[in-house]
Amino acid sequence: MSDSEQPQPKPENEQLNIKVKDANGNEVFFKVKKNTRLSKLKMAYADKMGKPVNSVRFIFDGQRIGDDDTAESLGMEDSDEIDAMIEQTGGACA
Amino acid sequence: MDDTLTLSYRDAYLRRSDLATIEPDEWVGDNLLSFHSTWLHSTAAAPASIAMWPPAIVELLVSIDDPQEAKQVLPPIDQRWLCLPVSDRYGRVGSDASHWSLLLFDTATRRCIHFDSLPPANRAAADSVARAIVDIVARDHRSQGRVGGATTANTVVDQVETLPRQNNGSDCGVYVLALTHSLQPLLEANLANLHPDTSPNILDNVVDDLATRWIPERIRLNSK
Repeated sequence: MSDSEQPQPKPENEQLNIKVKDANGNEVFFKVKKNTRLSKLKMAYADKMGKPVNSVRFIFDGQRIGDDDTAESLGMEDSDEIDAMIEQTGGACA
Repeated sequence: MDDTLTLSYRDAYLRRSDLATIEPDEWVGDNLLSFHSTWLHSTAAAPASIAMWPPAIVELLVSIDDPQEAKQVLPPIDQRWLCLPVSDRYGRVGSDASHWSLLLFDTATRRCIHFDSLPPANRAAADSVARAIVDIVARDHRSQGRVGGATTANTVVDQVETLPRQNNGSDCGVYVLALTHSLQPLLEANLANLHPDTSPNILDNVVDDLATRWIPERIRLNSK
């Protein structure tokens, strides 16, 4: 976890444009570095949508995204899309 | 808020707040069902003949209109059966979720069987899930030159009338856990007998056995 903030010239493709879409079709765009944990993206998204972060589920390629996953570990490419679903519970009919 | 990671298994994880949803009188949360789907996958025979999708994936299924897009964002469907948790939210976009039920889908025959512990609460939502999954699989079958079977237009969802009703205000999610837990061994044990062309009666027997024997044994139903 070295925090060396040396400004390294990063190639353009290190940052991906990722679209996050919710069940109602609302879209939010983010730029993420390939090796950034996507839990950070989820936090930023939850913040923007005014939801608690633990209530958001991220899905990519038919799989839930885990907190330790990165764009790189999931093989994401520029302009890929993440689907965001909100937590749900059930007990009986309302 | 302290929400400690309590249990992790493969790519599934539960926080304290997720575990709290299985306490008496609490409402089961989707993370618990997702964790269960990972657990079932790990205990399934290989290659798996049955898979349970997490609720978030099922909600994604019903929210996508474009079948081409659906193929890209949904898990590959290479099992014989899918267990799809149904929430009443899936029938009405934007509404709150309050009730779980389970749709069993036979990918070979495109038959849909719905287990609802408070019928007909989730009938409309189960119909939405059934139409969406039938549409995708029917397209797959057509592209393979297979004809017949349900299409979106004539999708019929069989309701399991013999399932005991829940007699409290919280157990529907527990039903989904117990149903999927029991379905996996029952279906795998009968896999050889459940040939798509000859199996309807055998599948009916499995479903009936599950509803009338296994579920009452697994779920404590308070006597009235």
